[in-house]
Amino acid sequence: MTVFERLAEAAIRENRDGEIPDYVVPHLLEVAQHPENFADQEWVVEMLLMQVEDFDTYAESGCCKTAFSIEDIYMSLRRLEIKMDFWPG
Amino acid sequence: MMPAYLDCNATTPVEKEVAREVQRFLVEEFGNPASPVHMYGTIARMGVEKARREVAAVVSAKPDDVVFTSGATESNNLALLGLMESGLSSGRTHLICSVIEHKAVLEPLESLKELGFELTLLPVDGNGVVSVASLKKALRPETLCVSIMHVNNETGVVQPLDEVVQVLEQHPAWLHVDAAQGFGKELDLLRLPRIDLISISAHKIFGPKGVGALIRRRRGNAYPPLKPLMLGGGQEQGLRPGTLPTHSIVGLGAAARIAQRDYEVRRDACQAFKKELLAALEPFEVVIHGEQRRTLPHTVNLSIPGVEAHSVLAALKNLLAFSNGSACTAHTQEPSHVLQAMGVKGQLLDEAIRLSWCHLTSRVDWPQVVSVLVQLRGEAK
Repeated sequence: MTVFERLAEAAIRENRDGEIPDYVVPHLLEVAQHPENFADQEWVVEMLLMQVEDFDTYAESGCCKTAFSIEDIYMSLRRLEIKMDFWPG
Repeated sequence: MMPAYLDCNATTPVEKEVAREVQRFLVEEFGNPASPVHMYGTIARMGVEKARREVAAVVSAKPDDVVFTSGATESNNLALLGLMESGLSSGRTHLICSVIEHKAVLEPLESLKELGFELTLLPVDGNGVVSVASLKKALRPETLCVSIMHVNNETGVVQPLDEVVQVLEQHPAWLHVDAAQGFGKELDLLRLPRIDLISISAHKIFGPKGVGALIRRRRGNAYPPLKPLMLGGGQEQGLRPGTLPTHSIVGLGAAARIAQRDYEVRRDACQAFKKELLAALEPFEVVIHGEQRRTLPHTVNLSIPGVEAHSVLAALKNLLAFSNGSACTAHTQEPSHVLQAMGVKGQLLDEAIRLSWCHLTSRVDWPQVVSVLVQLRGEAK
């Protein structure tokens, strides 16, 4: 399974069973479904996958020091030059 | 032409895949992971956190359990000296380790004797295996910590950690394992949940030098009560302050990931190399030190009767790069404390050499090696 396939699976699963917000999912799938656009940035996609798998709404608020927040995911998506309506700038 | 590198227990070559990731975080992604308020810092933090997961996965630990350090020596010191305060305040001042531990374990423990701790050294048998029966006898109610290495650096013998864990089942002593030589090379034993503290180094698993980790496991809800050895910053959960060397940590993570991924390929390559090596040296009736059924397939410690180790090193220096023992003590010309503990004596001790290889080791011209050794043995007679 490629990192892109794993990202697609994780995005759907963590949205359904976890806390990944609905509004992020289309952006995650935009990456997952177009591996040809991110061939030289696979390492960023690997990080994005990690963030989705270990996403926590309350990350960095004291008890989940190694979990990831929506801002972390936003940074990775921006790094991949994904346009997002929900985030300014 | 460079000689074939057979000193992989001293350090391993760096995997190209690892080097590429190190280069990326050394040059392009240079942010400080402790400044995740902008994209540079966030990416650096992600590199560190990904590495934390990759290291934890090898031993079935949790990401939080991993504390990055400068290598196994620092990890050993942090684990053993870090427990000092807890021992002194609770009156548990008895320590146990095996006699064949690396100096990075023996010396910190020896230093604690000056503060009132008592140290029991467990013997090994002639095969280089720690005596578990002695551990049973040595344990006391006030035993604070037991430190047993995973794989011996000189013989490659895997120690019976499964039996050690059984002996400690009903005892509260912290169990520390120096896994510098075995992490990523033997996968089962370090996953035993009773092991509280594990020390590792990147440069033994095809990663960069100067980085490693101490992996702690919670017992119940609490980690072992370690105190930091350095102060000044809150990094690594307060246990290891200082700006994280992101590129090195990323390299450790990549090396750990690849070690798990390529475990079988590497093992098979090492076994094939060992077969060739032993076949080539068979005519010399070598004496092998260490129980071969318990030895990892990339190491052999042996004596070639009639030829002293320093002569073999010198005669083969253009063909093979190897050592006569631990890299950390090879320069002292002292006989190996490991082989001595195994009962190796006299000429055999002076003749002992350590050969350690890996999946990246280049082909060896064995007929040429044999020819040099035949000549050397003739001269010695």
